[in-house]
Amino acid sequence: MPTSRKHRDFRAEPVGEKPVGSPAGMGEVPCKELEERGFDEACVVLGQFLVLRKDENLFPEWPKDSWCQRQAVPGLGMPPRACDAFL
Amino acid sequence: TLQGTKEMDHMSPRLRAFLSEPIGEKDVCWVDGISHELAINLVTKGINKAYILLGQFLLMHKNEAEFQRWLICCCGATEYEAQQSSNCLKEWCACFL
Repeated sequence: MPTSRKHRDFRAEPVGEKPVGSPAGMGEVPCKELEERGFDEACVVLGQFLVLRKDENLFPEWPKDSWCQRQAVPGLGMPPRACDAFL
Repeated sequence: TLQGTKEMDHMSPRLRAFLSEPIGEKDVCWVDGISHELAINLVTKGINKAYILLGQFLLMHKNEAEFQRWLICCCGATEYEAQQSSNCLKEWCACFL
């Protein structure tokens, strides 16, 4: 089965301190950084929602399940369905 | 933890009050560091609720320096007010996000 050059390069060297993202098929960005980026982006989305005075009409199609619904909703004192609409 | 207790002891009553319950519909003057005068400036700009100020903080990626710059330049905050309020919002994020 043909392998990519990245795969061959990966196998040629010791694993050592390679970031998690190194295996062939993944980007070069370590997973922790991806997670932090995602969290940061979610915060920005939440910020946008709040600055727009929680106007649910402006966020009609966000995915329903998110950390924001689980964690930030209690902190904001918003009913779950308000967050359902945007996250 | 004991360390957490010590940190709470050093918080101003206003900060402690802000962190003790959800933001809900609190007026912007509830945010620690927001003086009466600054609150008037913010309300004039349409920022009458604490959650809107929090939203601004989040939009700036919780970057305290950037938020403080904005509060000083665009809203007429003093350096002290800007530092207190950015710290307050940072603490809120640490507690609730």
